[in-house]
Amino acid sequence: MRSARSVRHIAILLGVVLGLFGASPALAQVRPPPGHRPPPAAAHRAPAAQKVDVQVMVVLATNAHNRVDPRLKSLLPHLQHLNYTGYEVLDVRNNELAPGQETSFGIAGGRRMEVQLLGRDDTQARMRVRMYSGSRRLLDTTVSIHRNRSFIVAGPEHAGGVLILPMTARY
Amino acid sequence: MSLVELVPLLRRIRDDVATADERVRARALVGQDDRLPQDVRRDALVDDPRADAVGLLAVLGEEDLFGADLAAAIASEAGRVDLPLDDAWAPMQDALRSELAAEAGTIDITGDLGIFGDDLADLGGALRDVAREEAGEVDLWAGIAQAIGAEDPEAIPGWDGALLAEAVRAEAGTVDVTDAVMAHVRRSALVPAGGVSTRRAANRRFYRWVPAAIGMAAAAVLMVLAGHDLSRPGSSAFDVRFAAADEISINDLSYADNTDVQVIRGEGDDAPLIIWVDDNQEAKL
Repeated sequence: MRSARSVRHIAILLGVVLGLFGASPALAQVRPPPGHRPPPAAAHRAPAAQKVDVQVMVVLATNAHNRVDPRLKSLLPHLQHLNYTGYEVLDVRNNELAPGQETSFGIAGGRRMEVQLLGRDDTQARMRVRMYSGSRRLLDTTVSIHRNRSFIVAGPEHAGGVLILPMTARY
Repeated sequence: MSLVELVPLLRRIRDDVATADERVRARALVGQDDRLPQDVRRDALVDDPRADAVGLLAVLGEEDLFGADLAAAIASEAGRVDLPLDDAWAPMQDALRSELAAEAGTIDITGDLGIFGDDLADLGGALRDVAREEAGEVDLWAGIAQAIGAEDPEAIPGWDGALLAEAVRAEAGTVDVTDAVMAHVRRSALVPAGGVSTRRAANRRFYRWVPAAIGMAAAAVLMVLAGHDLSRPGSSAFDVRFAAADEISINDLSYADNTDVQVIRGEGDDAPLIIWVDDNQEAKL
């Protein structure tokens, strides 16, 4: 019992340290001490524990060159079957979203993406992803994905190649 | 007008051997011929003298409008064909005759155009045979409809998109598209959710994350001490772990006209699920 309490104290301290240094949001999942009740919050003021860091990368796959952004090292094995020689990171978007919140941002080729966090539980997050070209809605999908896992939206043509958008829900 | 003089001139123009003076003379003769409509007399042999010469020779009853060359070309394309008389072409023959007569105004050309008459019916039969031969095997919906027992090929009872979708959902039950190697999802299709997993979260137990937290905290401290700026964007590799088949599900999916969407999963547990959006279908058609 005593050792468990000590470990808990260490963990809380580490949580504070990690919060100061801006470490991975996954580690911000320190469970509150027993009896602690988070204040009820509207969607736009959800407690940090309810938020999800949604990351969207905008990658251009092209045959115009054979350069590969070194940051894509872990993704590359999964992209090679697309038969492009070059992969460049055009943009990386990180948005911390509370349930109900959404973010909108432009991607290449006059397209726009909207991502809304519909909810999350201990295991997975539910996101609505919409893609527009001008005012035309190209895609509207809702995805349930495990925390800290990724999937890809891809295919729109741009600059002689295609856009690849790896999306990750971290918390 | 001297027909004796005009016809040889028209033939020379048709054969592109007429001199400039001959063309001027032919235009003058045509312009004076009161049997021709006024606009023909005014415009003939100006813009396209050779074509006009062919037409005038036909109108004057000196040549077939279509000529032997066309007949030879059709015969060459069709090969050896029988030319049975086909009464079904008779109405078209009559219509063409009356239309041409109306166009010609006061000139009676029908007796002079050798192509018309029973020859047109023969030509119709030949063209039909050639078309049939060229078409080869053609799948015709009417034939299919008949084969499957549909009484009316234009109206299939019960063919309703909503009913079909409902039937598919009822049949499919709960579908997790991530189980599919590749699922081609039709526009506006609704893919039932795989359901939110009720598996126990990996971080529920206290001791599960403590070792990782200690390790990462130590690394963070060391990096800060070493002068690294953790907030600096992206010089290190992205930490991306793709969801396994049982870690992702698509609850619903719809997309625009002229857009094709496929849900793809590669082989292997760590292969990403890819929602492939092809928004350039229109340009590819």
